[in-house]
Amino acid sequence: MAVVVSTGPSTLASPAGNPTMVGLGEVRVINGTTLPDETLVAYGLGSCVAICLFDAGSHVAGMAHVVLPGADPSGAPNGKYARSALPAMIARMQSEGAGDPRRYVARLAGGAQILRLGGSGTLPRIGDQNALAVQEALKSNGIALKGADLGGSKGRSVWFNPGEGGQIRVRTVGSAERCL
Amino acid sequence: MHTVLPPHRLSKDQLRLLHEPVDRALARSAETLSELSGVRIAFTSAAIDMVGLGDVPTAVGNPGDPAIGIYVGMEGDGFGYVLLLMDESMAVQLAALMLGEEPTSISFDDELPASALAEAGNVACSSFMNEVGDATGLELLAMPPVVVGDMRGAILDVAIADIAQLGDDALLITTELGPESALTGRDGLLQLRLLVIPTPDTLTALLDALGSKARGE
Repeated sequence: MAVVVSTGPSTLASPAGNPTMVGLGEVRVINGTTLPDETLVAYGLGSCVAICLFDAGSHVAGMAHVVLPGADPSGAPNGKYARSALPAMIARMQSEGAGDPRRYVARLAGGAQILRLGGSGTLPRIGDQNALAVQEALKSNGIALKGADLGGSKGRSVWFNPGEGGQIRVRTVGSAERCL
Repeated sequence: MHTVLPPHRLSKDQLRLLHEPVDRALARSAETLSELSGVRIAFTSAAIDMVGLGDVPTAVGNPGDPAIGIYVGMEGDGFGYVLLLMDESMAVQLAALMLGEEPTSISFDDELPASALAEAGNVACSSFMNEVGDATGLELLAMPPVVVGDMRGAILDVAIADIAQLGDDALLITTELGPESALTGRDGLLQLRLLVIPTPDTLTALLDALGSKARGE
């Protein structure tokens, strides 16, 4: 069962702006004041989780494409791991003008267990662990979670334009776009 | 001795060592698919490269596009994944060929077409492993196939999340398979790919075994 939490309106139109793709394990940050037409995008999230952070004071937005639930073995900030992604995002966002991370808001999407259509094999279950680890990391950094579309059995694509006040758009195969 | 080079690089010698058994393995996969489907299946020459894990989804098209994937896990003397990835329309055609039905009657909500695809993936991926195993002396065992339908990126996440626990790069072997008429451009683009993503240790074992064989050891 997918968990969907939203505290905002869901009236956005189709994705807009120049897409800046956020690949596996990457962190990308844009300043909505200087780059109003840029949109952060993560396509085809399966077990991965997109962390989307927004600082309303500076209009700086960041997205991390988290692959694994743990922390980087070297201790370095790194978007690949749930527990290492936030330090990487915060540092990058602050270098773009964002302020105290406790005033950021977060939205999450991903963490699915991809659906089996047939056969008798099994697939690793990493999506649930990723979703849990990311939520714990937000909590320990004092960042408020404003919306989440996590779990379930379908992949997701996510769009995040800082001009939309921190909201994200989420789409799954065969479903209408949702805004969180 | 470790022979894996730093990320994103394989030497020309290593690529040459890999190409021959990989091409033979693909030929065997295509042959088994031909026997199953009753249509002559051919393949394009394999592309072999070390790529960053972040680049794997985009190496096979738009990661947001819907697709069908058949995973076969690799165990034994080596670990990793072999994945047969195709567009939904190709999956429908392949299942219809195997079941002797019209494509319009195929629905993957039914168990039978999904099972047919699982079998196609099983024979294609197992044939590949057998040939590579023969070439290297490694015993590579195929796990039961798993059919998944989703966005390309989400399908690839299954293998990537597993391999990412061991490193930041993956050996990616890709090829295109399809009816011979499509391969020669008469039927448009091919839409079926075979991807091989071994763990870093398995890649080392494969290269060591091939290197020993080339030196006549």
